[in-house]
Formats: sequence, C-alpha cells, structure tokens
Amino acid sequence: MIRINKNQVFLVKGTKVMSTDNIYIPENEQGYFILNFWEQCSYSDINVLPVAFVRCEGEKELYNIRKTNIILGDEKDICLI
Amino acid sequence: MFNLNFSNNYKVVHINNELGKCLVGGAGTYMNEMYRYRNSDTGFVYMNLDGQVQDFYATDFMEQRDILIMNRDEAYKLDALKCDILVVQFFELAFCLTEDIIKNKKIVYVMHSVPTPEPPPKDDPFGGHYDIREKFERLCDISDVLVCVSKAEKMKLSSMYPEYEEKIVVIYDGITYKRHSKLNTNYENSRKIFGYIGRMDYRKGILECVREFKNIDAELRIACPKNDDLYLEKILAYIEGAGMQDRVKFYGWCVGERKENFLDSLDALIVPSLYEPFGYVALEAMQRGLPVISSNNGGLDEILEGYKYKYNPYNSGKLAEKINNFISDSNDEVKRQQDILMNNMDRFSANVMVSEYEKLWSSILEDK
Repeated sequence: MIRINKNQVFLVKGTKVMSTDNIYIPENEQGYFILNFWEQCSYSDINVLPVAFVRCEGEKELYNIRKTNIILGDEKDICLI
Repeated sequence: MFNLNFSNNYKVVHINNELGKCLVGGAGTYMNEMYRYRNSDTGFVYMNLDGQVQDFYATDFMEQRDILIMNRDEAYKLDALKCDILVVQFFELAFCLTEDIIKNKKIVYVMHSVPTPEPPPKDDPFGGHYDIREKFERLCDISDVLVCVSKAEKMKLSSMYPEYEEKIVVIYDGITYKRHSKLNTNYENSRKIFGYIGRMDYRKGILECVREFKNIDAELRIACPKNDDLYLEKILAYIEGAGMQDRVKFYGWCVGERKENFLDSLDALIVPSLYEPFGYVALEAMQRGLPVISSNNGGLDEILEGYKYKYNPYNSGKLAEKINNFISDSNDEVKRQQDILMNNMDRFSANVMVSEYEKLWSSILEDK
C-alpha cells in the first residue's frame, strides 16, 4: 500500500499533481488511477492538477479519465518530489 | 433551524437557496452581493432545498448576522416571519409562500432565469416540465413585482406572459470589482490561449465551442465541475474523434486563487452560452481587462454593448470567425475593445445594483 498525504505535490507519469485528500492506494488487480478532477480546487498553480484516489470500476470511468488530461497509472508510475 | 443573529424585525427579507459558501451559480453571486451591502432593515433566510437535512456551519455564512438557516421541512416556521417585503430568487422556493406567510406582505420575485430549456420549444416553452411551469407561474402570479436581470430576460418573459408586463422591472445584477494591479495584456504577445470557465451544461455551449475550435491553431482550456455525465461524454468523444486531445485541456473546477490564475493564464475568455440571462462571467473577465469572445444571446449583449467580439451562438462558424478576428486584429484594435469593456463595467457594479433595489423597496413601501 502507498500512502500520500493531503496536499502533497507529486508526479504521475511525468505530470505534476496534488493530492486533495490523504491517499491510500491498496493493491488490486485492475491497478488504480488517480483523479479528483471535478471537485472544487483552490490550489493556486494551475499546472498542478488536483487528484485523489479513485478505483477503476469500469470502462466508462476509464474512458472519461483517459480523455480529460488525467493520467491513468499504478504505483510504479508515482514519483514523490 | 440555525439562527445567526436574525432579529425577525426587518423591512425586507430575502428567501434564497444560495448564500455564503452555499453557491450554485449567478444567483448566489447576486445574493452574496445583496448581503454584503445590506442595511439594518434587511434579513436573509437560507433555505436548504436538498431532500436531505444538512449540517451547516456559521463560518459558511460570511459575517454571521441577519441570517436564518433552515431545512426544507422547517419552512412552516416562516409563518412567524415579520417583514414588509419578501424577496424570492428561485421558483423552487414558491412552496414557502403560503397564504399565511404572504398575508400583508409585498412579494418580489427576482428572476435569474425564466426556467425553460434552450432554445425554448415554440409550442411548449417549458419542454414538458409541467411541475416547473406550475411553480414558476404561481410565484409570478402572487408576486407584486417581477425583477428581470436584463432587458433580454424581460423580453423573454413578457413574450411568454404578456399579462405580467406591467409588473416587470429590470435591475441588472452587479458585482464588487476587485482591484487588479495590472490589466491583462497577454494579447500583446500571444493570442493562442483561450479558455472557458463555468458549469458543464449544454446551455453553456461548450460542445459548440470545442467544435468551432477544430480548425483553429490555438489551445482551449476548460475549467468546470462535472454537472452532466452525458454531456461530458459527448464533448470527450468529439475531442477524441477530431484528434484535439493536445489542444483541449481540462483544469478542473477552479475556485479562489486557482480561478484567478486560470483567468490570468488566458489570452481571451470564451463565453459560448446558447443563452445567458445575465452573464456574470463576462464581468469577471472584464474587471481584469481580459478580452472576451462571447455569445450575444441574452444579457451578455447588454453587458458587452458596443463591443466587437460577440456572435450569435446559433450561427455555425461565427465563433470561429470572431476568434480569427481577435487573432488577426492589431494590438491597437484589441486595446480599443478592451477599453469598451472597461467602460461598460460601471453599469454593472454591486453599488449600482443595490442602489436600484433600495429605490424599488422604497417605491413598494410607499404604495403599501
């Protein structure tokens, strides 16, 4: 399991993101992805995308997330900075 | 019920469902400005219209004075409300106005939109939403004054309901402008970054905007919440089909400092609404000198009076034409247009708006 604290800025596949909540990433067969794209965010740097852990539940979510500039990744793609 | 120093001894009481941090759209901006400039004769009732009972915090409500907060099932307590004028800003609040409550009071409905689909179907303007129509008409019927937030909205209402013509007045919405130390002059060096900010709703014309961007060599930045899954999927499918993934970028639901920085990052803001009763978003851009490329349907046409970069959203190709005009115009021409925006702002300040309402309250009380 990976834990990322709230407001931590980190990289996922080279994109800078910020956790909007404490993130706990359990192991699961589908992998995971990171997203909190649609919640209110006041973080000032617009080049940092607000994210949170979201489990992949189906193709629909997968589709939406891939197409909205959010990177689908798993734990090996995360780089804390 | 949650009483924040609400004295129940006011001349004017606003019943609303958007106040403080509990906001949905432009009606909330209006209500917060009315609260900010209230006098000692004005109180506010915040009605939670959600089906579920919610917890509220005093810190959600600015100065924490003159506010009564209640859930929907407590509306009967309004029987004890004492005031001369009751002001309502949403048709869903019509249920609060029982015969007992409105007795001996004047009712004002500040209409932030006539609740029709866009465009309104000719034979049935409410598009089959008979429940909405019933609430809307009841509220209009019992109101002594109907306030429209633009001339366009007044025209829409009076064309649907000529019988209300005599009780309609127009009072523009307004905002408190922030002092920006430097106007946005990005256009002097770049005309490549365009943006949209607002709800994700088909009335906002986001899909049409993306389509018009297909053949424009520029980037479109979108900042919005996810209000409509199906509409989002249509937009995403179009972006994918047109191969525009690298030119259309989503920045999430930007508020506070992020919203400020989002707007500052743009060379121009696009307001592609199919119809907009007023158009607060244009004012937010104007106060920082950010050029706007905007639909002219509704109140936006009045806010952007005399301005060049506006278009009919129902004419395909017109947005792209205006964007290309903006891109190719000289710096002097864009500066001239920026000056027009800056000059127009004064008519839509919160001070002007509040002053107009004060006059309205006085005239109503004189007649009472």
